[in-house]
Amino acid sequence: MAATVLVADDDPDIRDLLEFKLTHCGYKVHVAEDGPSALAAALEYKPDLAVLDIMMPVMSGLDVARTLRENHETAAMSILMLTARAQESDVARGFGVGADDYVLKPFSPRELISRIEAILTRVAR
Amino acid sequence: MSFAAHSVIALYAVAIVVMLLVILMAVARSVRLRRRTRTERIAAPLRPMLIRLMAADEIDEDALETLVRLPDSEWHAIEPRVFALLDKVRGRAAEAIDGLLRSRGAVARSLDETTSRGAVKRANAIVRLASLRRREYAGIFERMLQDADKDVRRAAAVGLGKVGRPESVAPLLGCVTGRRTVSPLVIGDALARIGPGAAETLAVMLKSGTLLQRKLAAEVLGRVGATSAETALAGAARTDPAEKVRATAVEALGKVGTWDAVDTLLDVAVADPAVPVRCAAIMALAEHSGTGVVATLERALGDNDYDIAHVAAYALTQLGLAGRDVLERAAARPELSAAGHATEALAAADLDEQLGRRATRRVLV
Repeated sequence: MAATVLVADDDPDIRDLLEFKLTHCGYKVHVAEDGPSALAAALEYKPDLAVLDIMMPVMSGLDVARTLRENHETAAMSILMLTARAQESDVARGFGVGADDYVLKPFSPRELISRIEAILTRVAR
Repeated sequence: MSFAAHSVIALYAVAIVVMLLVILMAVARSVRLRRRTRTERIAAPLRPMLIRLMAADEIDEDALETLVRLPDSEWHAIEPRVFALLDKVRGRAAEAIDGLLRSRGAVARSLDETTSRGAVKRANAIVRLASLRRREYAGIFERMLQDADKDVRRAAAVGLGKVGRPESVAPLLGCVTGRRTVSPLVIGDALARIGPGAAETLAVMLKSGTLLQRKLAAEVLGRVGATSAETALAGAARTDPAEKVRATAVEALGKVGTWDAVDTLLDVAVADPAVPVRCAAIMALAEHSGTGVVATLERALGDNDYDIAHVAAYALTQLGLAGRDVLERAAARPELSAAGHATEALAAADLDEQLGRRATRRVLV
């Protein structure tokens, strides 16, 4: 069965690009444009992996990741942070809330897909 | 005519001017809104094609052909959005957008506009070219650092950061002083974007630049965590004549975090003649562990200077059980000046823990 990926980003270009690319690669994709929608989608669809932008309106990707980790239903979900925040402390904060990987914008869609595949393969083992 | 009549006429005149301004603003807003709506209407059906172009592993000829053949009126509406996409993606996706922009002549047009008489046109041209992140434009951006307009200079500095060429470090640093300057914040961000490749030139400037250049060089070396510049930073932390440069070099050493860097911090925390520099070293040590660190901070806790003892108490709260042990021992001896600082730091740390937050107290140097 195809893995399910949640893409949460307030930038419609990035959302559409990732939805197109991931669907093309055989994943089932759900999208969200802000933190609360991402959280609701994560609880409803229980995706295998969530790609979270850090700077989203209402609730940041970091808060979404923290909430997902605290909920026993979503605690095991793989999380990949996608963000323009490149400072060492930002990266550390991302991993601090339990992210499995951290990708900086501008990003290569092809590389992002490879990272998603690597995380999902690791989890499946 | 009476004074009252004059006043009424003046009041009417003011009211008419205000009304005209309001109408003008409403018209301008309406024009902007219509223009944006038109752009959205044109862009909506083209977005899927741009997405396909960026997502494809190989060039999507159909999408490219359609976008290249768009009528000029439609292309001009979406061109800024196409350039903006370059700030979001890199690799093959960015190459596809780059190819499209070249095919449409947008890159050549932007290059022409760098010599335009209008400053806004020049600045916008640089912003567009910068999003391509191509080294071949670095020379243009470096020249534009000397532009008469400050927004053009700023755009050029940001562009050099995006291009990320280490050779641009000296021209960028040259812009923080002189007649035509760029904000040190903008220059600092551009240098940090260049990354560790900038370290060699920054280390040289740390010795030979002006005060502002030396301070900025130290700050950026810390931001990029340039371990290769540890010796230069240690030299600046120990011997730079300017207190502000020494303090910034000390903060940078804290971020570099090598063993040698910590050794320098231990020395400066005790020996620097300026209190703000010693405080900066103590704060930097708060991020590092080791018996030497705890012993030095314990000594600083007993210092006669209020600020040094206060900062040392805070730093000790960051060092886990070893630091807490020192503070508790000091707090138990009320006859010592350190007791007050230790008691306060312990109480603040406990409060932070109860509230589940990270301590935020900092000392401004």
